[in-house]
Amino acid sequence: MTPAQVLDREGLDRLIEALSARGHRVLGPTVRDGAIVYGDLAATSDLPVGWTDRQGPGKYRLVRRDDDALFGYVVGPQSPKTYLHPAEVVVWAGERTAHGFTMAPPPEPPRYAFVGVRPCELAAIGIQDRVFLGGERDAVYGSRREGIFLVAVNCTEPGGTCFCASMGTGPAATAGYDIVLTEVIDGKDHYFTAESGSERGAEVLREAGAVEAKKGQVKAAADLVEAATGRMGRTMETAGLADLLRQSLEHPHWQEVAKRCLTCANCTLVCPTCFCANVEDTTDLTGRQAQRVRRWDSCFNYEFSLIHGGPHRASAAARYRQWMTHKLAWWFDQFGTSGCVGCGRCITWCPVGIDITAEAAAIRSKQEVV
Amino acid sequence: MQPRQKILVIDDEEVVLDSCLAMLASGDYETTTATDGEEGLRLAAEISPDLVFVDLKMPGLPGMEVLERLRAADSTSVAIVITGYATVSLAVEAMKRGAFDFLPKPFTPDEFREMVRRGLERRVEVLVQARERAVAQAAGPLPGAAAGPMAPIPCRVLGRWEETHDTVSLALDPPPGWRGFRPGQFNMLYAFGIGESAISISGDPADESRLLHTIRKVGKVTESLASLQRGDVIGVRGPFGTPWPLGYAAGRDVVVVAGGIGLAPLRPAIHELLANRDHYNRVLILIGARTSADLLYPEEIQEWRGRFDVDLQVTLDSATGGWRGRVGVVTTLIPRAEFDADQAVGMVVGPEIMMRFAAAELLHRGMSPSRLFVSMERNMKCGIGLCGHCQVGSKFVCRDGAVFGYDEAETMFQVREV
Repeated sequence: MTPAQVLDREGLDRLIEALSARGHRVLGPTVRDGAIVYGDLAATSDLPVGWTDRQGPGKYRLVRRDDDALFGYVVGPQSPKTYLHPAEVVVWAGERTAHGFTMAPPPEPPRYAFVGVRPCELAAIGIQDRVFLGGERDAVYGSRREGIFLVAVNCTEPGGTCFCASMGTGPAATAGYDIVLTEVIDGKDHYFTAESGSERGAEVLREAGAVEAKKGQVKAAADLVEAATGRMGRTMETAGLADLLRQSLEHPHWQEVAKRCLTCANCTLVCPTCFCANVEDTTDLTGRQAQRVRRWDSCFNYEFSLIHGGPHRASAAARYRQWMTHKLAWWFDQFGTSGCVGCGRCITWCPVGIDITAEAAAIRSKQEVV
Repeated sequence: MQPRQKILVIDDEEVVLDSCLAMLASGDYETTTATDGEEGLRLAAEISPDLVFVDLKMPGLPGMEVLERLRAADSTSVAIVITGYATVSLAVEAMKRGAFDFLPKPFTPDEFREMVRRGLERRVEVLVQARERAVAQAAGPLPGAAAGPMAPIPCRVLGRWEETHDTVSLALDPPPGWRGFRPGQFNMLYAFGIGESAISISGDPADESRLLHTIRKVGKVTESLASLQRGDVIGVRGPFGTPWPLGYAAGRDVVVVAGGIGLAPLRPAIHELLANRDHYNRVLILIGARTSADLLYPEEIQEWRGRFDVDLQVTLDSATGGWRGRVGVVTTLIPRAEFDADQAVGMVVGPEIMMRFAAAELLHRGMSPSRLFVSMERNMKCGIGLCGHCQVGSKFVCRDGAVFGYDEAETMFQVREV
């Protein structure tokens, strides 16, 4: 690893250019429709300059900052999952022939580079790696994931629904990136300390003209990240949580949550690790061309567990229990890791503000009386 | 130079044999004839014919039996049935026993020569497939899957017949590189452009030349699959899932309990149990169906029941059509069944409620939950643990099941909607 380096905003512009020049489609946070979502980046001016977000249960607002910070917000409704495990994707296309049919794989996807990926999002990519590449390799995810370039940004201003410190995934990125940045604004001084996590990361930093950081700059960045740990909007007590949930399948609290849960599936759509998908087989009007489309699905959907005779999990209580117990307990059994990274999206984007940290705490606190 | 293709004709009527010889004289074949089944089988073993014609109605060994023994001896053999009593049900029966086609008497020389041509063509295909299988076995991963594990591999439907009013069996040409399956496993079957469904493999695992599936028509996809005809092409992915613990069951009593369509995923296990009968202690097969019209594989059940080394019981929920057997749900057979609960292995498939009650009865008899196995049905879309639909607790039914030990499956049965 190279010693800590530093870039100014122009350096970051050169970094984006360098990634483009390497053939990447460069994506990063952008402002669209009143939210921060991933979009194409040609320069730092495409980033949400001077914007921040206010997040709470069922609440998300963008507000102006009094500085020109490039990364002065946390995570929006999207994550790299939107591109690595697309919401809708053709898995293969088939054509009827005289002797049956032929199958062709879909075209090669673009090579993505993400700038501004948060530590919780890196952790989520690590989790989806285990899901999609740990056993049977998923071609859709694999072809997008391999060759990806990741520029992470450490968090210095956690949001109202963040709890990555509880989940051990942030606010600092520790692995899984090519480059990690920390943004520092100190009066008129605005810079980004940078470390490379890979050989190509070091190359791109060189191409961007990064120089060695001063001791004071490194310390200023480290102090900001450290202070962030104590400023999380939420906490989750994880000790013994997986076992607690495994043993709480008949807990009355599930009925309690079900009174509020709309089973709208928002939480699974914004979750950066939720991977469930449906496949749909279709043909064109002639019946000659067929394709299989994979589309995000959700354990909150009524038809999700449908078998002949009806869905297996019909009640809202059973569907919420499935989601939360999967995320926080069964995920460990399946993939050796938590399914939750503490990004808080499910809390923010729940229309009725159901809070996974509060529900977990409720189950824990009512455990004795069960 | 290619060796001449060998044809064996087994028929008790000399005049038929003579005319067959005459009709084949113009072709470059080596033709052998036999006047009864015993002699036919002996000759087949000796010369390994490329194509065998078998008369169904002969004195001595019946044609159906000859057909079965031919295939048991060599699964690459191609046999065509000849009979003067052509009925649809006979043709279907022959197809079920592995006949490639059916030639009703009397036939013209052209019809006969056309049958010879098609039969020999099939033989070449079967031999190529056998070679590919051998190569694939040596090479590892399944070839032909360039579009990934989600891409169905096209396979031809070799035969189709109705089992009951709502179930159909399809005999498929195995996909290239097919390396066989283990009893209890399933395939994802794809009807072009319509969709895919998880269907258990229901044939004899020893028969490598065709893949049998019994499909119950319950929705759009299964209706489409069931309406495919001989010669149509279907997509196959698989085999997926865990097998029945037939190795573990060796030396023990085995209690097979099947409710309704549940007999289909158990049939390969029954085939294997009976093929290696001396490996097991008592074999009990308890079968339940709603009515006699819903009973799957009745001829085969008769055959199994005819054996002295199998205790097979059938019961119907309600007696119809002159049924004189037992009436009642299948679980009522368990209390009286003769097996040693201390060591017996149970294998149960049926509707979930039936499995729950059957498990309760078996456990009540003293069977250990660790020796009781069930096959779960859940919504399956991918078969490889990626789509998430079939999850039950920490299990992906497609990958960790569908055959589960009852100690694992207990939570699934006991917690509502888990």
